Amino acid sequence: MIKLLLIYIVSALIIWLIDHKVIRNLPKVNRWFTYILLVGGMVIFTYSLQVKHVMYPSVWLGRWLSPLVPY
Amino acid sequence: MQKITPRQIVLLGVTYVINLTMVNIPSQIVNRASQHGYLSYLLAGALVLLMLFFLTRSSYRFPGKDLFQSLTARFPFIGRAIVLLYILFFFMILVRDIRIMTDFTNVILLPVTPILMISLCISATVIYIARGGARTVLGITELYGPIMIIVVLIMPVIALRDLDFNLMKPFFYVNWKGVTEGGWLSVSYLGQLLVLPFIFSSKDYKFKYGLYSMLIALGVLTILILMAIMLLGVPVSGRMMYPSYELVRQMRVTDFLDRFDLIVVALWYPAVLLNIAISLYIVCYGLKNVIPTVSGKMMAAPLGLFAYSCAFWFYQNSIELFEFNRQWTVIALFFIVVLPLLIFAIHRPSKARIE
Repeated sequence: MIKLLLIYIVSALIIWLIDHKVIRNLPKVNRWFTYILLVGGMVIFTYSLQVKHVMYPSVWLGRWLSPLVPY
Repeated sequence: MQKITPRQIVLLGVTYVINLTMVNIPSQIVNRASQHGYLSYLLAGALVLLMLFFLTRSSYRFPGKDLFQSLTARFPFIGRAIVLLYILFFFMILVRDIRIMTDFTNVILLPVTPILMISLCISATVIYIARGGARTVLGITELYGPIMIIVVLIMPVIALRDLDFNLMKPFFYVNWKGVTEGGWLSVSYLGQLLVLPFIFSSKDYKFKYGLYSMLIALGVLTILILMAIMLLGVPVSGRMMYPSYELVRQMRVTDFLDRFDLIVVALWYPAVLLNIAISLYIVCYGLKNVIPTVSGKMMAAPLGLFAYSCAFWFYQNSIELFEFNRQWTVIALFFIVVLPLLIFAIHRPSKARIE
């Protein structure tokens, strides 16, 4: 499982290494958005791959929206 | 940005609609509408065109601006909320498309390669295309858009002697309930065409370009579904996961090219990557309009990686991805019908500006 997580961490690190010099010169909001998206993505990635009972949005939404489907 | 030509707009619309629609819904449509599956596309296409007309009219009220720009400028709060909703919509399309392509590649092309690596490769390519901005996206569209259209137009010529027109029988009996159900499934995919007035300013974009896009897209999708029915038959294509791919696999160009599918997939795959990149570009562009200090270009990579994670979280498996098409239309109709009507009703220049 740690190996799988490493895929994400390495990808995020590559993005950070490539972009951090440019992002530093942009307004702060860019830095915050980048970090929030990278960390948020890692949390979702870990949750969807490592927790046994994952709550899948499509399954959950499907249950909620089924009564609205006309057939 | 360079001057945008009508040809680029039309091709972008076609590319954004056809490439994943031709993979993900034909089997479900044939299952419901049988030999008249093409009518489902036409039904959905008519509704989308009507909504596109309303959005285009709204866009014309603000000359030189696209809808993302004019909504955020005219209504600082509600406008931003609507743009954020559309960003969410296109983000969900982005996530869905990444997952569709990952599953397709895993099932058909690379069954041994881990699904996470396939998805990562797709996401990385998409990020690189989207980072190039509108210029790159439009450039690749001009290259791969016509190629895909030409390939689909050539296919009936190649398969002509193998087509069994008897499989279209009974031709004059139309199961309208099934056709409507097929239309329900396809409207969310064809509705992606509504993106045009959001990213192209009213100076460049005219309704007729959207109309041409839709007509070409409908033509391509109709050819493919008719060929699938006449080559594979309704029972077989209705039970297959990817009938369009099977259709291409059945084709042989005389004796020297019996794997025609390899050529078509080699041409179609970059077009699909472009399709996904368009979604990512739209999300970045929308975000830039909501928060002007955000750099759309620099958000492409983090957003792409975030979408990569979500692609595994949103859908349990590839069957769920297909099944969710039914409920996805409920969400999509909000963005394809409700919000365009709302925009058409409220989105007008302020009185002070008119005076």
